[in-house]
Amino acid sequence: MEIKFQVPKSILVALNQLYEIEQKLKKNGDASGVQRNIVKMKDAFEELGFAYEDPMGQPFKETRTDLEATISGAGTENLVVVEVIKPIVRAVLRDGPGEFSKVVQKGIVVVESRKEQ
Amino acid sequence: MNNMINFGIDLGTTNSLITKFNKGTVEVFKNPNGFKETLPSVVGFRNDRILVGEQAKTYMEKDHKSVVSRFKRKMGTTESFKIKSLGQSKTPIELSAFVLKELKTFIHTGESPEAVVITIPASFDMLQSNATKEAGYAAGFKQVVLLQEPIAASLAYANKEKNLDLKNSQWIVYDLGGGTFDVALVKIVEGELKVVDHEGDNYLGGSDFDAFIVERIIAPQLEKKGKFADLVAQMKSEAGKHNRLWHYLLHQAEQAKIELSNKTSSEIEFSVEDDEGKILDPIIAITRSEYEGIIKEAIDNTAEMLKKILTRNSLRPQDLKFVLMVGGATYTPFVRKRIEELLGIAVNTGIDPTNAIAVGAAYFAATKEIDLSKPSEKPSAPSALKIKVSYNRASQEREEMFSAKVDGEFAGMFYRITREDGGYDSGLKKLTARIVEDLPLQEDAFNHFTFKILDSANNLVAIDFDSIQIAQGKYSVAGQMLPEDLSLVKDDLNTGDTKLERIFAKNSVLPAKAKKLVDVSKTIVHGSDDEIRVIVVEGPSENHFSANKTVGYLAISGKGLKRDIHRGTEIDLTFELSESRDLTVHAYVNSSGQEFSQIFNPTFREVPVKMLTQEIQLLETRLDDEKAEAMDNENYEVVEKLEKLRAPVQELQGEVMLLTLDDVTDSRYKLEDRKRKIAQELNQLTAGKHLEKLRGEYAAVKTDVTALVSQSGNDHERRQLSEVVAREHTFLNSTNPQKLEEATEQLRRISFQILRRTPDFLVGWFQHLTSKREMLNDQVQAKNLIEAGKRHITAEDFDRLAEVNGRLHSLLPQEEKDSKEMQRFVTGIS
Repeated sequence: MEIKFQVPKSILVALNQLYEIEQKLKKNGDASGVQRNIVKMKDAFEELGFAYEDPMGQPFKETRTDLEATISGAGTENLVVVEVIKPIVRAVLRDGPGEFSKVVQKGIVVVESRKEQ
Repeated sequence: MNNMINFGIDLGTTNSLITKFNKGTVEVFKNPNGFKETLPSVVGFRNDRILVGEQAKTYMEKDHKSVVSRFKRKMGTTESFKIKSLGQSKTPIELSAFVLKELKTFIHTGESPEAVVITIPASFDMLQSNATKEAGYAAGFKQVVLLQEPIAASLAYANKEKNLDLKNSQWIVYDLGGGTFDVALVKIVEGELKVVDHEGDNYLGGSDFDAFIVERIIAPQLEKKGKFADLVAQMKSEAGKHNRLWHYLLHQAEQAKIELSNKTSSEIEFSVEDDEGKILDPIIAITRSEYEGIIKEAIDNTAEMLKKILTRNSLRPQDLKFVLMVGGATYTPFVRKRIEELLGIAVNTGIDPTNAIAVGAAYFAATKEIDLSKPSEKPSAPSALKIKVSYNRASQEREEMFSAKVDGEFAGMFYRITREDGGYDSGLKKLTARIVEDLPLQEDAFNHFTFKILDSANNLVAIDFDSIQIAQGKYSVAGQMLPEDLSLVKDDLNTGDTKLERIFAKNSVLPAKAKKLVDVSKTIVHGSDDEIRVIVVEGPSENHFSANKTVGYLAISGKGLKRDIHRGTEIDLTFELSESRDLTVHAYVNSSGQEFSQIFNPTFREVPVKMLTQEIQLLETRLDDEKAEAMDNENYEVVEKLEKLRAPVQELQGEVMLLTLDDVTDSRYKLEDRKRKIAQELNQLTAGKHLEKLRGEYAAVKTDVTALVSQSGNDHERRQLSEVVAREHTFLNSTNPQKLEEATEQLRRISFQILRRTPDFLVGWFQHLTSKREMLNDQVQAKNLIEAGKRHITAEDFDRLAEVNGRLHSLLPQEEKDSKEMQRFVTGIS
């Protein structure tokens, strides 16, 4: 399926900001119940056909093309995502059976070799 | 025209691009993965794959024995790069060919160009130029035309500024890219563009500036905020304590640098633990002047090189027509300003600095004819390959093994597997008799992979198999399907009736979850008996709700509320349907912060007597309305059939009156069943009529709007109209009245947009508001406004009249404004 996506930059900017807000809430607590509003905004974006995915902690390999990674430390095997600068954004089409999605913004991340247990 | 080369490639030291000239404009192709125009000129060899671009760049610093970059600078030399993982060497030509082949995959038009223009730096000599040609041939092109980068940039500029007169003039092309700097003097000699002189620095570019920001601005500030021993070294060293932070900050610095092109300051925030274990969350501000301070020396050095060219050619700055800026780093205003300052001549930033060279190459390609008389190599004839594949079509795992057996002549061929969502790329791998690949799967999705076999020039080899499809997660099991739509009942404010909004479609795979945001359509006073009803029904969502079976009912009563909920308040509804079809409804009332939930299971039906009574009453009203309408239309057959339904409805009414609110017998269920059956009959009798009416309405509105748009619509409205008309097939044949209504409503909105600009409408509205004069809230203000309105009409000042109308409207009492919404509420949500 050849689909050309022209994603308005402002959508990506808004989603990246939303992701950052979510991360700050996770870190500093959510005393005012803001997370609910975030979820609502995420739903609204999903209706527009856009969703982000937080790749934090996910494994990274050279075959992954949804991430733009920088390797920190010396090792290059067993890499996992340790910092997320921008999340992965997908355009989601819900037509026909199942879901079809396309990465419209690669996640920008720092990866590191997983320490041996 | 068709016989022109048209394709251009900027084969850069750090980044490469591909473009095509088409009907007067140039398209810059984008990477199908991530949609960037640029491909990093980096090639990696890892785990017997060949990776090109972004994926290879990731490993560039860490695995420099298997990943190569900056090979362009070694073109035409005998130097080759030892690749540890291959146990052999690769020449700069071979490496460049990989980049060129990868660029071919950007072409989404399905073309496979045989001829191309490739740009080279002004500094390239014969050997280097020939090497570039060789790389082109190795990548499968049969004709390669070279073009110097400064000339390409000048062409891009000249094509943008059509009126530019460059006769007898000379200018400078200043190219400061991601990692290299080149400057060239360009002149028209005997009608042809020529590079007369050039200078450069192979190790200066925008990425150096990012590092400067981290080292010279962020690190010193961070050291003041916490205890750090040797912070910069600890960041830059691979084994250093803060190596991770270095990479993080480089990205942030790059963002800040981009922001500083438009703003005077930018901030970087992050989290770090200092040597004493204290967590710091600094926000570090970087001002534009600070940034300019740290790159000043580097920019001054580039100016020195530029001056050298001028001195060598006995030119004064005023002899130059302009300095043309290309390369991403010239986005920085300071670079432009400083060069202007130091040379005293205007710099030109008329072209997109990142793709100017590639764009210029395409313009040049559009003037060069394809000449394939000297093909360098015969393309390999596609061999008859037989491929037998095996893999699991369905999986619960995050990865599935794919294996294939290959028979035939496959020497020198490669294969490549990519996932269609853009999340996986195997890279180029050598084709062998047996191939095995672990394919990562996206969760809860159909995963489509493309399988390609490519010959040595990256041309596609025809095989009878090209796609791999694996269903992951919920799609992989023949999960339970929902037999009927589940819908939410809402008040329809336009018709005063109810409408259904589908929550889960028929055949949805269970378990499923859905969310709806609804508005409260009437105010519920806390402590009162009034209630909001969340009603979920099972059956076609085109039906009237009374014809479907109620499967879930959640009442939010005024008694259970902590405070009043006002009309317009939002309620978040979450519906979860388990595999065994238990339905859970959660309602969260935003204003009071209260959450209500209830679980319904299919064996237990919730039918409150109060609701049943109301529904039966409603059914009777509908029956009367429909009958009256059928009478008006002289449709006596329907009248007769409707009449037959009356007796059973009245019977129901009588029986439900006898039930007490807390009746414990199963009578209510029986009555509910009977009610549903009658409603279904009523629906069948009238459904066609209703749709027919809506179709007629749509057609009428469409005729009006089309005339109106062609008369006084703007481009935006024309587009809106054609957008609705274009999807007519989706609603005109649909049995869903809601879709038709929505489309009609959209058309009405367009017409209203246009009408509200017309004087006739504004005057008419003014007169309507004037007729309501008596009931306006502030009589003094109303009088003044009406007088002003009359003056505006006489003066034909319709903008001002619109303002007066707006203010008069706001003086209307609330109930008058809402008159359309006075109606019966069934659910209290809309």
